[in-house]
This record gives sequence, C-alpha cells and structure tokens, in this order.
Amino acid sequence: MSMNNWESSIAHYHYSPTAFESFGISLENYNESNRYDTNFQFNKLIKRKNTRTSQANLYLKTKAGLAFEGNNEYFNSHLGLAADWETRRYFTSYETALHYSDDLDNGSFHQQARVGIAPYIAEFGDLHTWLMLQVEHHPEEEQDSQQFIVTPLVRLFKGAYLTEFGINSNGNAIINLIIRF
Amino acid sequence: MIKKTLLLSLCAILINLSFAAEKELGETVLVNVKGLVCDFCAVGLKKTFGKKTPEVHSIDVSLKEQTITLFFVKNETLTDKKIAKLITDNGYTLVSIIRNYDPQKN
Repeated sequence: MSMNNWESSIAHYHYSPTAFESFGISLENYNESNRYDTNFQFNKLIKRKNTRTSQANLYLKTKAGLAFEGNNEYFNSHLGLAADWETRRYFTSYETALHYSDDLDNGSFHQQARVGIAPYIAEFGDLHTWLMLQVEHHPEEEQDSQQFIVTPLVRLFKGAYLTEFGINSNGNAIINLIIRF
Repeated sequence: MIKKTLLLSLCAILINLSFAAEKELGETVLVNVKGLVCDFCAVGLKKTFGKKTPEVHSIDVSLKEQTITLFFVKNETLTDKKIAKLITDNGYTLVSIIRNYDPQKN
C-alpha cells in the first residue's frame, strides 16, 4: 500500500493471516522535512457486525518504531481506533489516533472522518467507483487551514487493485494505492 | 517444411497437455453469508479458495445475493466445518451451506 498526502508519503507492507489481525511494516517520509518514520504495525479487528446489507467494523491500530531526522533518531509510536460502516451504496468511517515521538513533536492527536456514496452498484469483479468526502482535524497545527482539512476523493477498485485520489482544501494532492497480493 | 511440421506438432502437444491439466468439475456448493458488501475485501475469498483448498476448482461471488458458489474438483469436497472456518476466517457470518446446488435450476 502506498499513500501520499499533504503531510507525508507512506509505504505499507502488511500480512493478514485472517481478517481479524494484520502485521506490517511502514516507511513514512515527511514532505517538509528530512524526517523518516520506520514502524512495525499491528492492527486488530476488535468487533465486526455483519448483516445481509451492511458491515460495521471496529479496529485497534498500533505501530511502533524509530523516527529519523538528520543524525538523530527517536522512539516513535502510534495508537489509534478506527470504525467504519458500509453498504454497497454508502460508506462512513471515523478514526482517531495518538502519536508520540521522543523530542520530535512531543505527541500529537488527530482524527479523521469520511462519508462516501457509490454512484452505481457494481457486482463482484466489476470496476467499483466511490465518491468520498474526507475531513481531517489536526488540533496541534498552528494555522487554521491545517487544523481542518477537507478532501473530496474518488475511490476506484477492481480485483486486487484499489486507488484513491483527490485535492484537499489547501490545494494538495492525495493519492493512495493498495494492491492485495 | 520440417520446421513447420515440428512447430505444429509442438503446438498440438501443448494443447493436449493443457486439456489434460484441466480438472473435471464435481459438486457445486452454495454458501449463504452475511457481510459480503465490499468487492475489494471479497478478493480474499478467491485467494482462500484458490491457494488453501486444492479441492476447489473455482468460485463465484455474488454481492447482490450474498452468496459464494464453490465449484469442486470431481470426487473432491470440503466438510461443512472446514467451509465454515474458511468463511469466518475471512470475516463473514455464515448463514447456510447448500450441498449439490444446481446453478441451472436456480
């Protein structure tokens, strides 16, 4: 999985033995500094509710590793909760996370929500299209324009390939790509 | 001329081998589930019933009907218990397993 947004570029590699847990590594490069975060990740599906027309999930997301900036290196950790609910037509999600790096940012908090709608209902194997709106809240940011960031997104997926792209309220591009092996 | 004949013979052998490798179809099983709403998540089912279960010839997934159709290799099958485990490991709720399902009649 690769993700590029206004703040950083992230590459993830995950292994999921079942739908309930996922182990992985990630490399994150911050756009406006020479900082790199390298992390081990563990995500756990805490609760899933399946119905005939919908699925709802609650996840615990953790990561820990080292952050590098210049010649310095710091312990880096991340603890988050994520929830989503979706049908074949509608999608909503919310996630919140605490992030801590020794001496770098002394901890930060952010939250993010998404709503989405599929303009047409596609079957298994077809090209699926979603129109989404993402709102991020970064209370530690000094500028108002960075505290609340709104991003309209298009999500496309077919088979084992998923991509998302959009332009946020500050004019920055977001591009995500996920490939299932 | 000899080269052409050899080439044609080689093609014929390869075609025969590919037909020989094709396994015959056996039982069809219809699995009704809950939670099958995301195509990208359901890709995992194809991997599960491809890599982990050589007994399964192919599968068909219907998001509309919330079903997974398992086409088994002739004289091969999986127990209900095994199918149930693979379905739940993929994160879906099993509703029912219908044996000897005939897609033409339904």
